[in-house]
Amino acid sequence: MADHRILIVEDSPTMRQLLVFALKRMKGVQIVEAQDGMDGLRKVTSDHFDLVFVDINMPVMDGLKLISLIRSDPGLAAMPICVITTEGAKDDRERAIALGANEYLTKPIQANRVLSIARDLLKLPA
Amino acid sequence: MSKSEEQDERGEGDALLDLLARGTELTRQLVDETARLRQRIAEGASSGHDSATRHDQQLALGEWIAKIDALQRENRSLLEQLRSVEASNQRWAERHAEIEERHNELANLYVASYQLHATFDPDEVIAAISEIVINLIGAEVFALYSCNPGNGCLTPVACEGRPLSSFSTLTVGSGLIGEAVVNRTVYIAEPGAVTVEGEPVVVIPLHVRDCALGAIALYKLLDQKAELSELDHQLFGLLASHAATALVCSSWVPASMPTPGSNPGWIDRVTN
Repeated sequence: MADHRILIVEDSPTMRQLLVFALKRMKGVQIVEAQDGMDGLRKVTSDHFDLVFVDINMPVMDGLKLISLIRSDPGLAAMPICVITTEGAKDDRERAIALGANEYLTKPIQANRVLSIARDLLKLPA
Repeated sequence: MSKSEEQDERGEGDALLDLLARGTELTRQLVDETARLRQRIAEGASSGHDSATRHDQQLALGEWIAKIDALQRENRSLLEQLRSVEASNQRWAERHAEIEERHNELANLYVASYQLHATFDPDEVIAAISEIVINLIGAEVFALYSCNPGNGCLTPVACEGRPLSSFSTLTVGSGLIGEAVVNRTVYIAEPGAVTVEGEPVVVIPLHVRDCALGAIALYKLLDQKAELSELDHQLFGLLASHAATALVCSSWVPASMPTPGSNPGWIDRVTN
């Protein structure tokens, strides 16, 4: 039984695999992957997650729309969300934070930064 | 970090705490004894004892001074040990950061290699190349050129950051990209050098054996990438070899090929 369940919503298989690689270094974590915003919404509403990583630019449903839908659901309003952006996309990042994202991660990602954010949002010791 | 290394580090941390506690205790004893000694000397001077008493006091004084010297030596030794443990902790912290860095590099290289060879679909291989260049290296504008050995042209076939039509068809052997393909070496612009508009900052030639397949040209990196890292150089090398082989393999395998397991003769077809 996993202590924490993390959902990664990201259309890029490369980024998903890299995030999984980094997060699997934490003990007692179960990771679920979703390949776009709609897939992410289905999974987040049908199962319990302690943390969600969301990419901004995705097909079918983008990350900003997904964040606003998650935050409008009273049952999910408190779930920590970390957005994945590029450094140049400052507007997207600010909009994501305004919509209720708790943290952001810029590409190219660093494994130790991913771990640090995950531990922080899951309230785990460093 | 291995479990035994973690235990060593924890043991050193405990030793450090013990040393600090012992140092504190010794310092406190030293201060107490010095105060007591001063008080006794003052009492002896004021009460005008006889010579025998004074002799006893001098003996006691000698003992106390010897004890103070011993405590001071022990204190110095503890301080030296403390400094040694601090230096050891610093070395461990540096080693830990180094291992983290290596882990990150290996994870990136593994993922890049895995994604390049995870498919036999040429479009998916090109998508994997694009993702590596965008997400792992951090390129904002790039183009993938395909080499036509018949006419020596390098034709842009995939790109990011600008429309494909904005990238011109180039000639093998001419310009930075064409020369990199002929020289079979990765071109990297000098750090901080002012690049000519439209010129690439990095060119990765793609070869399999003696055959030039094309090149990946990076025209602009993300703003936060002030300089290329060791990992970036390793990814350039990985792309130069693995992207080329992945593209060749994907062009060999027909789209209608049965999947392994669905056809008992599959292995025979591949091996023969």
